[in-house]
Amino acid sequence: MSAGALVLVLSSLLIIGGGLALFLWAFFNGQFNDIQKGRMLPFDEEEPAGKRTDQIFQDKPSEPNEKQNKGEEQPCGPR
Amino acid sequence: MDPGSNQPSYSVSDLDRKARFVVLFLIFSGVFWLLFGTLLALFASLKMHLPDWLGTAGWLTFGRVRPLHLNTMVYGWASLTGAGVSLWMLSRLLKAPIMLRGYIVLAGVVWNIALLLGSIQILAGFSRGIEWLEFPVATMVAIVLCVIIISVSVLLMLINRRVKQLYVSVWYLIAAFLWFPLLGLVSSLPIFDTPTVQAGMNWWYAHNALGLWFTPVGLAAAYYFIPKVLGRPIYSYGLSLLGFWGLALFYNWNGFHHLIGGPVPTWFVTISISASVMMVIPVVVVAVNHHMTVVGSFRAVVNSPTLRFVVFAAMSYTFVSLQGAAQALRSFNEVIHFTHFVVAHAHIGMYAFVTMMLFGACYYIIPRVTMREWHSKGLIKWHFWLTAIGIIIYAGALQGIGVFQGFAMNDPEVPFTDTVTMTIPYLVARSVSGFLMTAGHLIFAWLMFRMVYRPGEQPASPLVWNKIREEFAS
Amino acid sequence: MMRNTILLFGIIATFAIAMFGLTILPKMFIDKAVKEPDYYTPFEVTEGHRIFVREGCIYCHSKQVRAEGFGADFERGWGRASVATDYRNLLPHNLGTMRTGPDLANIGARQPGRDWHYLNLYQPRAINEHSIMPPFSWLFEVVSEDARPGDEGLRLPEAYRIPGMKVLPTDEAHSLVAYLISLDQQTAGVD
Repeated sequence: MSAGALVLVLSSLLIIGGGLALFLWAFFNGQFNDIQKGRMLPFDEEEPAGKRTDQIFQDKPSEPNEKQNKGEEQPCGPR
Repeated sequence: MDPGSNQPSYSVSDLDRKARFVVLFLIFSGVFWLLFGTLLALFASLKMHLPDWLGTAGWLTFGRVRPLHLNTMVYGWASLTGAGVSLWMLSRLLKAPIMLRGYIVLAGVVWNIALLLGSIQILAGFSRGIEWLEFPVATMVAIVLCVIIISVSVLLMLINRRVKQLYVSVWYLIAAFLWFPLLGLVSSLPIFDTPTVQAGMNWWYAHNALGLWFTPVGLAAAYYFIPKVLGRPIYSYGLSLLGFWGLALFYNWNGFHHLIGGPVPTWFVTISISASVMMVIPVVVVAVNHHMTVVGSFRAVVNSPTLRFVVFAAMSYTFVSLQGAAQALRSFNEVIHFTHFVVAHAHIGMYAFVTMMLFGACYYIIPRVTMREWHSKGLIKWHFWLTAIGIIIYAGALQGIGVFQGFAMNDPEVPFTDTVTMTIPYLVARSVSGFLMTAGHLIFAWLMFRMVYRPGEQPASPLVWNKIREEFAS
Repeated sequence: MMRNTILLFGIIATFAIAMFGLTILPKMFIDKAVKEPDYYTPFEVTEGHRIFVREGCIYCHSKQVRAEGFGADFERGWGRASVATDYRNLLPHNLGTMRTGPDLANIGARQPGRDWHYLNLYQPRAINEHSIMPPFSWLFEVVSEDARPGDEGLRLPEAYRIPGMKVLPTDEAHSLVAYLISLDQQTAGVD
């Protein structure tokens, strides 16, 4: 039983150490710099950010959409 | 290593066109199993309060119809449609056409045959008898092998991608397509050969089939469709990554809390309880992220069939996960374990979250891959309200009575029969909600059917068999 | 490429660690506790277990008793808390998660009579009019009153009797009831 406990402690230390090492690598490698740019990835030229899609229940298609878009040109959210 | 430097780039509509056949095939197979599973659900629900109805037909007894309902919904509807939705999202997010399309279609055919065989096996009484794993091992392995073919396609798409950075949906989907085959294979290993060990594996598998397969697919869809429809990027990309690693670290360890009070070492149960509670972190992170993205755009949510379903599903995910964390606690579990409360909890997870998310995804994907508009806006609204109200009645009725059933069961003064009779009106309410959801599913199936069947319109692409040959050639 | 490798590594590692922790480790611990059974399980009981699984009894009846003080299992007379050695190593496991009907871990001690089980399986409402258990009539055969003399058939209440006929349990019913009666935690598995 104590041998089992030793294996458990050592393996968990190994796992935690491994995770920590990977995190430190990622941090100092600059993987976390400018992390927010990832959120623009779903958009493309045909369906760009700032343009709503799929608004098929809208009665008057153009009017409210434009009004909304003015505020949406600069995507909001934390930097 | 710079992916995509000297390869052709694809526009979104190119990718959708290439994805058309394989995505439609997977989603439509799923819709067939949705209808089949719904029929079984009605049988099972009605038999709960009309036990003598069709009582002499052995193959339709509750104990066979109920597991088959679960298996066709899980491995038929949610898995097949989920795979189709996932492949479509991956193709767009990696800017690469779906790889091995012909082989995926072949895998889909085998998958459907396996489901059909498995259904016959369960109704004929050859169930494996383990919840969530009732298909006999050979049938289950066939399904897992089909998923592995799709997983290979996913990894090939990852290698051949035309973008540098991976969106968080891609993280979830890659994880899902690695986790589910591993789960399926581990659960089929013959090493779990004593009852209590098998019970542990059973609930680890069952909880993680939801946590490591449907949840990542569902969350990937939420992370894709909410920004896409609103035209507004997700609130915080950093939070979304935190949510991903939180899920990867904690969800795996769930499962043994289904055996609280059971004949397994207590510390295994305690591990799962703590993991369940730790799941609050990724769940709250995801909820905050989605809420902050959607907040202030209520009109846009109401106006979009996709977002109606997706936002309903995302809210259900938060609700069901927090409820799950609470319900894993021993004091709460002592009451609601063994009652209808848990049944309703499972349905909030698989229906209000996963199924509604897949409905929403279909409303976005199908018009884009078929280049057609939906047949009727009114029917889409009917579909939404019937299914949304249906699942709310379902959950409300069963969770409401589940708590009282649990208290009654834990009071030795109450005769056991009373814990049964007190639930009957709520079981009837469940059947009523079942009919509402069935009506919604029929409407959905009709809308889907009208997307591919338009008499009088010339097909723009080759017919089925030429299409399959073409897919193998590409 | 490094980033993808780490992503894939993380996905596989989180899974593998949990898989080890929640499937392999329990196997090592519990298998050590569940020794080779020193009792004999008759064929009728294993066959009954197979039918128990086939008819999906487990979707309404749990087969695990919680300890005294946790729930009211003990007070309801369902017996002591179940232990891993109670299950006669019959697979698949039948621990169950629902108590639409009562727990069955100790049903053999509560209802040792075969006739009660036959009647309950053929038509549960013949015993308890509020029961919502499905009838398992295909485990029985209905024959003419004159057939097989010496075998009276089930003693059904008036409402469920078929004039001129009697109801006899088949071999499958015999096995299933043998299995149910074997579910007795006072004797099974523990010496």
